[in-house]
Amino acid sequence: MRLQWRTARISDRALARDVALVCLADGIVGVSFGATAVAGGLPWWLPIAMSLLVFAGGSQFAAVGVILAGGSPVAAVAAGAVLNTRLFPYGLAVADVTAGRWWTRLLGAHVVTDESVAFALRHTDPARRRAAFWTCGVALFIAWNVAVALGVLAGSAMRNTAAFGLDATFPAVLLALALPALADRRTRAAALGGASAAVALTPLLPAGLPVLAALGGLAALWRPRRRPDRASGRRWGQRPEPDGGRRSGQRPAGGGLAAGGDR
Amino acid sequence: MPFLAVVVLAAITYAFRIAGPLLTGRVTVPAAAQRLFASAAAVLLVALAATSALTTGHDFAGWARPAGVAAAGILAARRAPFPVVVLVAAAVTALLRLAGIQLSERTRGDAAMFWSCTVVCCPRRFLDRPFHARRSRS
Repeated sequence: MRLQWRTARISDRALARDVALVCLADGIVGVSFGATAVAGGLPWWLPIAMSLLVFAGGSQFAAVGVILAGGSPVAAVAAGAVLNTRLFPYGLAVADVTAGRWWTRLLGAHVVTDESVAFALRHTDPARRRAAFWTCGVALFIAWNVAVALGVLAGSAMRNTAAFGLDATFPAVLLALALPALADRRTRAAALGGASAAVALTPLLPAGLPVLAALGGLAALWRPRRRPDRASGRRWGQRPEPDGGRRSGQRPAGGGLAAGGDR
Repeated sequence: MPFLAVVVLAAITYAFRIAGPLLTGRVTVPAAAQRLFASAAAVLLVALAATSALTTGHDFAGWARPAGVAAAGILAARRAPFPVVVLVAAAVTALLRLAGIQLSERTRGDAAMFWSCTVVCCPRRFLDRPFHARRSRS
């Protein structure tokens, strides 16, 4: 009994430490989000409202990135929404954790993120799963919003944000989020094709559209691969990839994106 | 970006989040659809990264920013921890601009001070091991 109690205490401390590290990492990203958004000319309340209401780092970066490039709000919302489709399978994966009263379900859904789901999936015991999910989700919500607010303060205080290189943190975050999914060869080809098309179209199309046009690359690459599958009965996807297994090890079920940065 | 756009994005995001718990047991996502979601997200992220690294408005952004993003990308591919990736992107870009001539003396001094403090204060263990390796220990 006593030993059990001690192991529980130790793993609680381990959980708190791991959650704190994730909050610290995401906090740095949050500060750069708030600072860049304000430095780019957006009103101070916008990144703050976004962080409270949307609370999904990748899509916040994407939407603000489209806006800062001069894109329309519709394009920004579309880009953010596509990135958040992965939250649906995440929600299925942790449905048992938020089950119970209706309000825990509603609140729990809002803190479904890459990180909180990854923490929940590390455990099989229901009580531990619940503790991991709620600790990470709530701590991250607080840390992220405080960090964004600090970033907004810092961004409005800076005289010249270009000197700090803040504008480079946006594309760097987006790239780092995409990298784990690029271990897959077909995704990599689609992404490179789409990105080249988007850059080539940037001088020609209104801002925001080139990025959405990149999704076309996805469709073009998807079809020709399917037909030989059925014809020969062989699956293209099964070819072993030296990098694939190593990268997917830490991901939440079904997620294509990295756990460890996307809020 | 109007407040309405934020609210719409928040509503869509929340709908994706709540759909899982509401539909659990009644629906499963086919593996092919999950892969498509993941690929679509990756394509969008890379396209956004490329355009925001290389262009400002309709024009080329200059070399400092793409160089910083490339350095960060190499570190991320080598699985450096996330904060390091973010800080390196900004630091490389800032240093390249510092070496340039467009900035006033005062701004340069601020930026140099900021980055030297960051480098000195950055916890050494952040640079040692990837984030994931530390987390999986418990």
